[in-house]
Amino acid sequence: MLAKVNSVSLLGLETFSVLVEADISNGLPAFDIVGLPDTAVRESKERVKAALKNSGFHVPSRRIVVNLAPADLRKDGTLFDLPIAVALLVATEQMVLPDEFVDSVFFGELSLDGSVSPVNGVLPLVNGIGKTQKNSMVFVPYDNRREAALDERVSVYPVKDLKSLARFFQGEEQIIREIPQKESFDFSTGTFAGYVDMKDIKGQHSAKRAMEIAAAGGHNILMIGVPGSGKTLLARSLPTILPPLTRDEALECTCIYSLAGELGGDYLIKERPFRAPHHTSSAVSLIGGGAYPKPGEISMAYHGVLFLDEMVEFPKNVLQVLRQPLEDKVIHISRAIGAFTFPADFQLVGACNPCPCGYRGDPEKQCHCSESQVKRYQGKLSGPLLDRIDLHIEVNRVTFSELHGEGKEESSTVVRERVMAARAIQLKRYEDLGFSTNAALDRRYLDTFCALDSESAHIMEKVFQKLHLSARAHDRILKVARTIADLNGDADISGTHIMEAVQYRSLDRS
Amino acid sequence: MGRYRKSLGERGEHAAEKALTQRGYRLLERNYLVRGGEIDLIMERSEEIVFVEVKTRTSDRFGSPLEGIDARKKEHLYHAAQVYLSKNHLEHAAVSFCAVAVMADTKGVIQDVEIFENIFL
Repeated sequence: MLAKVNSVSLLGLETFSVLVEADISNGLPAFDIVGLPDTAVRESKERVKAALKNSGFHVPSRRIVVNLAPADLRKDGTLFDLPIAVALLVATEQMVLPDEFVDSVFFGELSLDGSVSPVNGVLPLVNGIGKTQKNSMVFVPYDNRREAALDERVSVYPVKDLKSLARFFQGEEQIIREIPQKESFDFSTGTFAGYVDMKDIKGQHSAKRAMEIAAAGGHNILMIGVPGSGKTLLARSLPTILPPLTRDEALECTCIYSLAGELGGDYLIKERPFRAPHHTSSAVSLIGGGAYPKPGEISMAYHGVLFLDEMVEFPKNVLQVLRQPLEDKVIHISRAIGAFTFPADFQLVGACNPCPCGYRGDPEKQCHCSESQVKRYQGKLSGPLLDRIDLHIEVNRVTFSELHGEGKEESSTVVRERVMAARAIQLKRYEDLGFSTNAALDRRYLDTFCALDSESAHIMEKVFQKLHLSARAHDRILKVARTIADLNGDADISGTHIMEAVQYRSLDRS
Repeated sequence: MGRYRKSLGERGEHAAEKALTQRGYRLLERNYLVRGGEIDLIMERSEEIVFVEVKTRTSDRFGSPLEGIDARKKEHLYHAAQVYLSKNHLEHAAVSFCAVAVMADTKGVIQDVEIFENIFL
């Protein structure tokens, strides 16, 4: 007999439908899976056999062929276990699919004992189903039910094991549809677990100010400082002063984390991602890839922060690979099985030392580097990547009195409020234009939104000439000045804002 | 093959055939030989053709009788089965494979006959 069951699979973040067909016929006993199955899918055979047997069903000693259509697209993953088992049960007449479930979609991994195990990429899978067939009924692994229910366009039926699924279809047991949690999607009361609250960073007021500007305008920032000056602490405080994730942003981050298998038991990402790859990371781990492409660090940092500590230690070819995504906000990956696009909209934070030994310019420790060593080291920072960083700041060592000072530092909650006020201004200003931060301002809008009065224009000209700025640097100063003005609640950019913005171009000045 | 071994094997097959018959199987062929394979017994039950491999052992020292059926053996059995089915125009018959493990003591007396149905998939 022939049975057909609907399933679904992922190619990157895109879904495609898979029809699982099972045919039983006479002839020498065999069990073959066709449709370009990859290793995990070929192994399905063993899991399905054991699961069926241990659920009280029998696997006939006949010729069994399972086809995964379309047969010319490669299939990978373990999620076909469940639909294959269901198709076999129907084909061997050990179970009947009631009419109302004939078009339902099934996916899930099977354990040898018949229970249904969770898989990755559930939210993207369900999004794909919901987009093409509204009100579909989807049977998912029990542990994936909350994630699946995040998409309200589908009806989610959680499955614990094969036996209860069969009993459900026979009308002998209940499977209750998973009701989507009434998520408030209000993440403003996050606990900043794992991040650093600004009130715990002593001193460093100008660095914190720079962080605030970076957060307010979405600007990329590079910190240069001696070892131990607090660059990592400062980087880790950035997520605490960024606005909380919006509903759409949270769902998008969840899709990527789910695909990468990094949801770790949660079903929803609630905090801005903070990714800090080590400088020995490969280009592929950074931008994504693999035979069946998975998102890289830049995509995992979507709507969040990518922190490159010891930025100078990253191989040049790895840093180069970041240029395009920084421009386009997406990364295109080409593989034998197809072309993939992952989002790559992140805020870049870099940290490095001023020289190879790390102490150049330090008031206390002596630098041992020769001029040529320093030049070579700083040369690594030049180029197109640096060009895309709006703020460069020097982070100096903290003094003893600052460390032990009684003065209270502002908490992240307070700073965040100012950041959110500035962001609200930008949101309104750029409404309908397709972007929402000053950092994302395109060149052609500079005259409209960053117009200077004669006084500020005069100051800008002086700075431009004195520092021999490039056009790019000029644009960046304007954008940063725009953010500083927003933080101050000023409609126009004044000379003071420009002067402060210029302070954050330390690499242009040296 | 010493004469002792050969007759032990024969007696094992005979014991297997007897046990299967008692279970309702009907004999079709004994020692079906083709180039590239051989089948000890071909039986039939409820319109299903059953190909039987018999393994006789006197001790467990060299593994259980069933472990003698490795991938190569399976290939040979399948091949011979294929030839039998096509020669007899039975391509669309229901087919299964069966193994019979016969344990004998050191004197060659049959102690136990165990039937394993549906061994291949």
